[in-house]
Amino acid sequence: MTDKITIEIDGRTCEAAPGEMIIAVADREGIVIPRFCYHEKLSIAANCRMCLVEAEQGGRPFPKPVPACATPIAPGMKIQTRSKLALEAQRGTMEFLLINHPLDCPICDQGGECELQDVAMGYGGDFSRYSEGKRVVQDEDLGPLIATDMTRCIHCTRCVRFGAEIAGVREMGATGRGENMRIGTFVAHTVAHELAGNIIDLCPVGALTSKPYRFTARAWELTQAEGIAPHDCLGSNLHLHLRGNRVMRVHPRDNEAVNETWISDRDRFSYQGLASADRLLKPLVKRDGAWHETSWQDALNRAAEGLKAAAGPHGTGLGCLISPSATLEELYLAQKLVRGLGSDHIDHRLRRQDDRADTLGPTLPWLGLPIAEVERLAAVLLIGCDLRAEQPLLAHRIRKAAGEGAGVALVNPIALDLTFAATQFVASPAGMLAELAGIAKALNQQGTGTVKGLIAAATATDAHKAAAARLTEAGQGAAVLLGALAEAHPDFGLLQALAQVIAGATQAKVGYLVAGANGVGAGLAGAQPQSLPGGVPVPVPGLSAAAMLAHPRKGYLLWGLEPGLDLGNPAQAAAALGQAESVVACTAFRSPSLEAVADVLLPIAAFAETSGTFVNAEGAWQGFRGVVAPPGEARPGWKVLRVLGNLLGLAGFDQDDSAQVREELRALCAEAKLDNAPRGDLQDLPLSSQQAAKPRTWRVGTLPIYAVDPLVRRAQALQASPLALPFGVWLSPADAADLGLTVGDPVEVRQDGASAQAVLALDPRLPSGCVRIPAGVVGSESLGAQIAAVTLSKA
Amino acid sequence: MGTRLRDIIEDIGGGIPDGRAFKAVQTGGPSGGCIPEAHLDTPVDYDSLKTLGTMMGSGGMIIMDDTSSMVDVARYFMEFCMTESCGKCIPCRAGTFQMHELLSRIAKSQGTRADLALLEELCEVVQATSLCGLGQTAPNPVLSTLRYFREEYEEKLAGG
Repeated sequence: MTDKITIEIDGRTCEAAPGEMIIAVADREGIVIPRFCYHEKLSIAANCRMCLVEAEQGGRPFPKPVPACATPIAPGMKIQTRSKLALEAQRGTMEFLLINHPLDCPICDQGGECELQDVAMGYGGDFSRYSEGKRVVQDEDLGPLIATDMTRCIHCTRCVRFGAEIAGVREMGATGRGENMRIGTFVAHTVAHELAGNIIDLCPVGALTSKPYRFTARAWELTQAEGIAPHDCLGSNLHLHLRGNRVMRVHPRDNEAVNETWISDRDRFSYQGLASADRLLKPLVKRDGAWHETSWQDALNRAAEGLKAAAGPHGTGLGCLISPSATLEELYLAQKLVRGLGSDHIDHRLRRQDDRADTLGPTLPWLGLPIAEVERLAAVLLIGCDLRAEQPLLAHRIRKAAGEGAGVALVNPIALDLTFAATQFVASPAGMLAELAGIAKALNQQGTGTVKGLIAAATATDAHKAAAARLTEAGQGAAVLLGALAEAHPDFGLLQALAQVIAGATQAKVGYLVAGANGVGAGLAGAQPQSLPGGVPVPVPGLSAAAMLAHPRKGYLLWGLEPGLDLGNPAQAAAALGQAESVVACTAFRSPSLEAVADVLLPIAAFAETSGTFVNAEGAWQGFRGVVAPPGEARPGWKVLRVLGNLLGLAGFDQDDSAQVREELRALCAEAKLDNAPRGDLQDLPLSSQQAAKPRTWRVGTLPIYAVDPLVRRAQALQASPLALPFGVWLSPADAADLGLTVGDPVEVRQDGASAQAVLALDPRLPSGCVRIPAGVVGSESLGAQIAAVTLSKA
Repeated sequence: MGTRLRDIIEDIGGGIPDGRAFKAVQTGGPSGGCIPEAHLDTPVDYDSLKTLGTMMGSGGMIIMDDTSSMVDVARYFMEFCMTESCGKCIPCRAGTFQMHELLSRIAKSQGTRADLALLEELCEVVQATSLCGLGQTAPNPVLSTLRYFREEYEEKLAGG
C-alpha cells in the first residue's frame, strides 16, 4: 500500500489502497456494512444488494446507492453507510430477502448464528407486507456431510463461487431464472470434494448445514475453544465447539499462514471418532488370551515390567512404534523412555520401507519453505504424492499457484484427479525412477552411482524437457516435493537422490510432505532411530520401523496406532508383534489388530482431550490445550509416559505439566535446524531388492483420504462419503484383460506369502503393471508393503 | 428523429382503426413508458422521451386505443420483466415477481389502497437497488402509467 488514498466513511477519514473495495476498507476500520454475498476469499458477485451505501465523489453524489462490495474507492470519495438513502436501500433489500425466506428459525439449525437473522434484526421489519405464497424448493441429497434446506437459500452464490474458485470443481450451480432460480447440483449427485464442508460455513443462512452436527446443539449452548487439526502436516487452526464435555463440531480458525479461512472435511468431521464405541475406557491386560479390565496401577506395573524385560540389559530387545500424529510431548517422552531403557529403536515413520537412506538423507526433513509461499511458486514437481488425499489444503495452495501460471508436474504410480492443469508422469513404481531420471537428463545431469545408471538409461522426452524447463525458468520459485507415496516406495532413497539432482540442477527447493500431523515434530523430538532430540545424530542408529519389524524384537511399545492399518507392512508387523513376549499399546481405541498382538492396553487421550504441540510442515510449533476430558479412565499420553518413566526408575520424568515437557524439548532444539540437505551420498544406493526382482505386477497401495489414522477411520460421516475408498482391487482395463479378469471377479491377492481376497474394479488411471490395493482400510491388514510386488489370480 | 408522435401514428401508421379513440403510445420496449394524448405533439428524440418518463429504447412503438386497460398493460410488461429476470440479484428477482402479483391483484379489482402504495414504493426500491438495467428499468411501465393514468388504477381498487 504505497500510494495510499484518503476517503471518508461515515465522517471518518480512512486510508486505503487504490482499487480496494469500499467494504474492505470499512471492514478494516471496523465499520459494519451488512452483506451476504461478499466474502473476502471469493470473487465479487454483488448480487445480494445488502451492502448498498450512499457515495459521493468530488462533491457529486452517485445517482443511486452503490454496492460497497463492488465499488472501488477513489480519492476524496465520501461514503455514508447509515444515511437515509443507504438505510432505505438496505431495508428495502432486506424486505425482499425475507419475502421468500421461510423464517423457520425455530427449527433451523442455523438459528442463533445466522447472518440473515442477525442482519434482519438490524434492517428487517417485524411483519411482512407480502401475502403471496412463499416459494418452496425441493432439497437435494448432497451426501453424508452436508444437509440442505434449499427453501432457505437467499442465492448469495457463495457456495457456487467456492466450488468454481476454491475447490476447483463446480459442484453447485444456479439453474432456472428469475423467481425460479435455484441453487443445486445440476444433476443430483453427492458433493464429494475434500474441502466441500467449507460451504457450510460460507452459507449465510440455514440452507447448507452440517449433517452430522445438525439438531444436536444450539449455537448459544456451545463454548468455543482453540485447537490444531491432527491429520496432516499443515496443522490447520481450528475452533472446537463444545457443549459440556463433548466436542460438538469443528470450525476453521483463520490463519493466513496455514489454512487461510478453510479446513478440509477430514479436519472438520473427524471429531465424530471421539465418541466412537471403540474408545478404550479402562486399562486392559491380557491373561490367558482374554482381556481383563484392571486398575491403572496394575496395568502400568505390568507395562513397566514388560518393557523392562523386553529391553534387556542393553535395551536392544525393545522397539517403539509411535504415530506421527502423537503430540510433541508424547513423542519426546516416548523416546526418552525408550532411550532410558537403552534402546534407540524408536520410529514414527511407520510406512517407510526404504530405511537405507536414514543416515544419508536429511535428519530433520520439512516442507522446505513457508506454507503460504507454496501458492507463489512458479514451478512444482511433486514426487509420489496423492496430493488431494494427503494434503487437501496444500493442494489448494498448489492449485492457486497453478492458477497464476505455475508449471506443476507430478510423478506418481497413478494418475490423479486434479483440479488444475498439471503434467502427470504416471508410471509404475519402477518407472517413477525412470521418469525422474528423464527430467534429470533433460537438465543435462549425469549423476553418480546408481543414479548415473538410471539417467543413462532414461530418455528425456519432450514432456520431461518441458518440465525441466519450467523448473529452470522458475529459478528460486521452484520446489520439488516428496509425498507419502514416495515415502512408502521401496526406493525412497533413490527418489530423494533424484529429487536432489533435479533441485541441484535448478534452483528448486526440496521439500517433504511429512506423514501425520507431527512428522516434523517427531524428528525434532528424537522419535526416530538416527537422531536424539534436536536432531543430534545417534552414533550408532537404532532400528527403523521397518527394520524392527523385519528383525523382530522381544517387546514393543506401540503408540496411537493400529498395526494392521497404520504400519507399512501389516503382515510382517503381525508376525513380529505376534512373536514378541511383551507388547504394550497406548491407544485411544480398541482395535482388532492391536488386541491380537498386545498384552497391555493403556487408554490415552485423543484429539482435543490432551494438551500438546504439533510442529507443522513449515516448522511452526502450534500448541493446544486439552479442552474436553478424556472418556472413562483414559489419561493424557504425556502423563502416562511420565508415570511409566517413574515406575521404570528413569531420570527426567518429573514434569508437572505438558508445558514443562515442551520447554525441556525446546531447549534441546535451540540449535536444531530443519534442513532437507542430504547428509550423505544418496546416489550410490543400490536398487532395492523389490526393484531388482522386476515384478510383473506392482501393488500401488494408496492410502485413502479417510483412512489415515485411527480417529478418522472412526468418523462415521466421513466413512460414508464416496471418498472413503473401501478395500478392493483396481486394475487398468488393459491389464485386467491381460490377466483374464473382468469387473466383479473375486481376485486373490498374494504378497510375501500373505494373501487377501477382493472384488475387481477397473481404474483407467493406473499405469500398466500396477494394481491399486488401498492400505489403511479393513481388508488390507493381512497384506504386505504398500508398494511392492504382488501376484493376482482369479479366486 | 424529431418527427412528432402524432405524425408517426396518424400519417405513417394510418391512425387508430375502426374509428376508436387513441389512448396511449408505449415506446422503447418493455422497460419503456406510456405517453397519453396530451403529449402527442412531442418530437421523438432521446431527451424528449426521457422527460415524459419513457425512453427511445428499442425504438418500437405500441399504439393503444380506448379499449386498453393501462393496468393490464403495466401487468403485461411486468410479466415480461419477471420472466426475463435472470435471478441473480434479489431486488429484481423478488421485486418483479411481487410487482407482478400486486398488478394482477389490482387488475382483477382485488387490490387495496395499501397495495397501490406498496407497488409505488417497490418501484422505487427496485429501480434504486437492482444490479443491472433490467431491474433498474423494470418499474418504468408502472411508473409511467401511474403518472398519466393513475385514475385507472384508482378505479380498479377494491371498494372504489
